[in-house]
Order: sequence, then C-alpha cells, then structure tokens
Amino acid sequence: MVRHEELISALAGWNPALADTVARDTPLLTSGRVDSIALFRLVLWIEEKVGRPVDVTAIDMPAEWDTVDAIIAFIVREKSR
Amino acid sequence: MFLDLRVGNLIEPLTGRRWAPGDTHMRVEARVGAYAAAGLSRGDRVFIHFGNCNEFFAELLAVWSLGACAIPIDSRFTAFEIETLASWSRPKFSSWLDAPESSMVDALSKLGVQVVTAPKRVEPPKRGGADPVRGFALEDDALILFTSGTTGQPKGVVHTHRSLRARWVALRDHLGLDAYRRTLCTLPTHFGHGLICNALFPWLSGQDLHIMPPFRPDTTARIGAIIDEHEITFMSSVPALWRLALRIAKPPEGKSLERVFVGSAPLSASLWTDIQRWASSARVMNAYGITETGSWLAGTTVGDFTPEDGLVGVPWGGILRVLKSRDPSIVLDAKGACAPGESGHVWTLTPALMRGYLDRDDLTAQVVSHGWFATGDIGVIDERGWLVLRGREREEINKGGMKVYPGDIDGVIERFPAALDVCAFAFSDALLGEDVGVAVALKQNDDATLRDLYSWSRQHLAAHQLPQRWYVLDEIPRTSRGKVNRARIAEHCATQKPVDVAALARTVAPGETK
Repeated sequence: MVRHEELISALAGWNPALADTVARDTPLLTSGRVDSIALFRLVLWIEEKVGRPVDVTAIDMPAEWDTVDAIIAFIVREKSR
Repeated sequence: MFLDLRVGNLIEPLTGRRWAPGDTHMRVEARVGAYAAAGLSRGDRVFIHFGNCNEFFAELLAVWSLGACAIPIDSRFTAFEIETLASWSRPKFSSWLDAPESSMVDALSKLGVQVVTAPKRVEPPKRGGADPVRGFALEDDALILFTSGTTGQPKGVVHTHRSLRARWVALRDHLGLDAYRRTLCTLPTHFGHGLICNALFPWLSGQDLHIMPPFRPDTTARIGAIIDEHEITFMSSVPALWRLALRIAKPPEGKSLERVFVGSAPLSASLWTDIQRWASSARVMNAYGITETGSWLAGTTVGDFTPEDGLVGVPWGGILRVLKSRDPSIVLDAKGACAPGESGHVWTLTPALMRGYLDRDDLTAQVVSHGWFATGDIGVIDERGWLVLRGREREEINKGGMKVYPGDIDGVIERFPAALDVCAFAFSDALLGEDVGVAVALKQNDDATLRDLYSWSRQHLAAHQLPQRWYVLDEIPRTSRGKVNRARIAEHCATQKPVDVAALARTVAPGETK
C-alpha cells in the first residue's frame, strides 16, 4: 500500500520548496510546482511502485497526475490491472 | 538589418496571446514613455524580473530604446541573491510584472533602486508630449547576464549592442532564416542560449517567436502536440529536457519541424540519435555556445554526419583553435596550435565576444588574450576540421544545462556559523548529467546543527544550487597550498553514505515545534 505521506516526502526531497506547501489536493503539474526534473523522478518513482514501466505518453499526465491523491489513485489502478 | 530591429510576431502558445509587430511597438512606446518620465536615461541599468512572456520582450526593447542596459533576473533567485546582484550592478530600476513583497521593495530601495511594476495592459501613448531622448551607440552596454557569484562576487557577462548584433549577423549568415520562421523557445530568457539565440536571433529578424514558460512538465508532456498545433519549424533545448521529453511526450505527427538544436550541456551520441528518431522530420544539431560569446558559437552544419559523443562541428562567425596552452599571456600563434586529433584548450576569436565581466577586470584578463577567448573546454580539431569536445577545465557543475559554480555554494555555507570548512562538487546524475554534492566539516555534527545548515542553505541558495547530496566529514582535505581538490573530494565522498539532510530538516526534534 503506497501512502500519501510517502509521496509528499519524496516530492519534497526532489524539490525542497515543496516541503511545506504540498497537500493531497495541491495541483502539482498544472501549477508549475513540480518542474521537469522532479517529474522525471516522479515517473521513475511511480514505475517502482507499480512494478513495471508505464507508457507515460498514453496518459493525460496533467489531468491524471496533478495531485498526490490522483497519483496514488493512478498507482492503485495500475497495480490492479 | 538588426540595426533597425524588425520584430516578428510574438505568440504565447499556452495563453493564446498573439502580438503582431504593431502590438509590440505600442507596448514598447508606452513603456518608453513611462521609463522616460521616471528618469531612465542612456547608461542606466534595469533589472527585469520576469521572462518568457510577451511583456518581457517589450520591456527589453523599451530599455534599449532609451539607451539603457537590461539585466534579466532569474525569478528563482532568493532575496539575498537579488540584493547581492543589485549591490554589485547598481541598477536604477527593478521591473516586476507582479509587485514584489514589501521587504524586497525596502531592500532594493535602500540600495537606491526604484521598483516599478510593468502593467499587464497599456494604453496607446498620447500624442503631443515631449519625445524622450532615444538611441544608443553600438558600443553601449546592452545586456548583462549573471552566470555565477550570485551569493558573493557576481560574475556578470556584459554584452554591447555591437557584440549582440555580431552574433545575430553571424547566425543569419551561417544558418539562414528560413528554418526559423516559426521558432519555439522553451528555455529561460535570463540566460544566453535562450535569450540571445533561441529567442532574439529569429524574432529580431522578423520571424515568429512562440514563447513558453521554461521547464514546465505539463508543457513538456505536450511538446509534440504544441509543435503540430503551431507548425513549429525550429526549437532549441538542453539534453536534460530531451531526456524527459523522450520519456513522456508523443512525437509530433506533422512534418513542420525542420531544425532542432541541443546545447548548453554535453550531448551524447545515443541521446542525439534518440532525438533524431523523435523529431524525425528535423535535422538535429549540437549547438555549442557560451554566454561570453553570445551563445551559439559553432555547431553541426557540416552536411552528412553520424552523431558522436562531443561532436560540435564548425564555427559560426568566428575562428576556433585548439591550442596547447591555456596561458592567456602567450601570443597565440601557429606554433601553439595542436595537430589534428591532438587534444588541447579550445580558444575562439569572435566579434560577438562580450565587453568583459562587469567590474571584474581580473576575471576578464584570465580568459581574454589579444582578443581571443579561452572557452574553458578541452577538445580536438579532427582530420575533417570539425571541433570535438573532450572535457572541460572550467570549475562548474552543469546541472542539466544550468551552470552551478561550486565556489558560490562554498561561499554561502562558509558563512554558516557552525561551518568549519566546505567543498561543493559535481556528481553524476542519469537525468541531469551532473548534480550538486557538498562535503562539510562542522563544529557540531548533531541533528539540530544539520537542520539549521539546511535551512540556512535554502534561505541563501537558489533551488537549483541547493546540494542534493550532503557529506559530513571530520575535515576537508586540502593541498599543501591550502586549495581543495574537488574531484578528489568527490571521489572520496562517493565511497561514503550521504546524510539525508533534507529528510532530517522535515523531522521535528524532541521539544521543538515545527
């Protein structure tokens, strides 16, 4: 089970400015809070949690990965496939 | 051409805003009027704190119209860095799109800098008023780009109108304009590659410029679709962004893309080939540039070639030589040149060379000799006459195209009260090429001190300068002359386990409240 806090902690590690500003429903991609570098790390993090590569080009990333809640839901969904 | 600037359309793909040349002209005139009324005149300097939007380019032309010098400022800089730069360069105005915090206004005001807010909308200038004094000489300073020292002694590259125009004329002559008729810029407009070459070269020669916020992941994911929608013919970027785009973005379906440049960091043959595959309709070239030379200095305009590690190609409007010596005091002559295939120091002679570093004649003298510029790179001229880079001698960390100078980080951490010694260095990173590591020796090694150290560093360093790996050592080894050997310390730290200072900073010590 992936915990929301684990993702928030990981995000803060990739970008210290996120340490105190990210809640579960904070827009990440569309707000520009997560930059390109952090996104690359996020892709790898999600793939590690899902347990296999994810075809990122096939998803609407700004819509499906914009919040911590949405990302965790994505992981849960992908793991059950 | 380029003396009477003929701008193209400005388009913001994300907002849909489109400024025809007349719209830009009206905005420039309004800003000229406002600046002239506020007292801006020839020789003054202006900080511009916003970029990658239509208003930035109008602000730049307004400042130039009055003979003043523009200093684009990275919006990620901390207040400490902005104050450092303002103390050093003494701008008359500091221009913001959104009003800064009052503490920032107070700090700049104490330094004699007048803070102005550039309005989002302007009215056409009224006729009948006194016409402000306009114009500049080619030798006047046009642009200052700070490349390091934002936490200590700033290193500001000063370009004159002459050096900038020399770069643009050289690019036009060597690259033509046709491939640049619909240019996309996703690079920051506060650094040379993005501003001078990707944006201004096409736009100031009448081509359309599509300007986007830099390094936004949601737009990187849609870059292929944006290229299709706007029928982009040209774009430039850095290797780190391509690594991400190749992973998350579908290629364009159309065939509009004709030319792609990659620059600001070493380009491997494998990444080069991957980009070629993604941008299948385009010719993908390595563009070698340095802020001091007005960026793009050379590239792969060599006919047919196969990507190879470090391949640059031929110069664009200058001379490239690989010489045996890095000593700037020598007279550069044929006897000092390396034989084809022999590795040496890359020097260039170009009319686009900076005037020098702002108030740092000592630094200028270290890199300029008899008009030649020492690039700080190691390379060879091969048997084809093409430049191939082999490494660099400059002490810098190339973090995905953003240059981070370890001395800047040392300068901040040294001032931390519990710091005994410090050494910042580069470590290899799969995405960025290099990232920032640091070794510190402290008076106390307890958690509270490390938390304070991290907090201090976050307060004084820009986010991209903040070390990602921290090592606490008993002492920093130094040579008999008291110097640090960064490479050796990096090697030593690679055998140690880094301290997760960032995680530590997120924890709350017993008895503390967060």
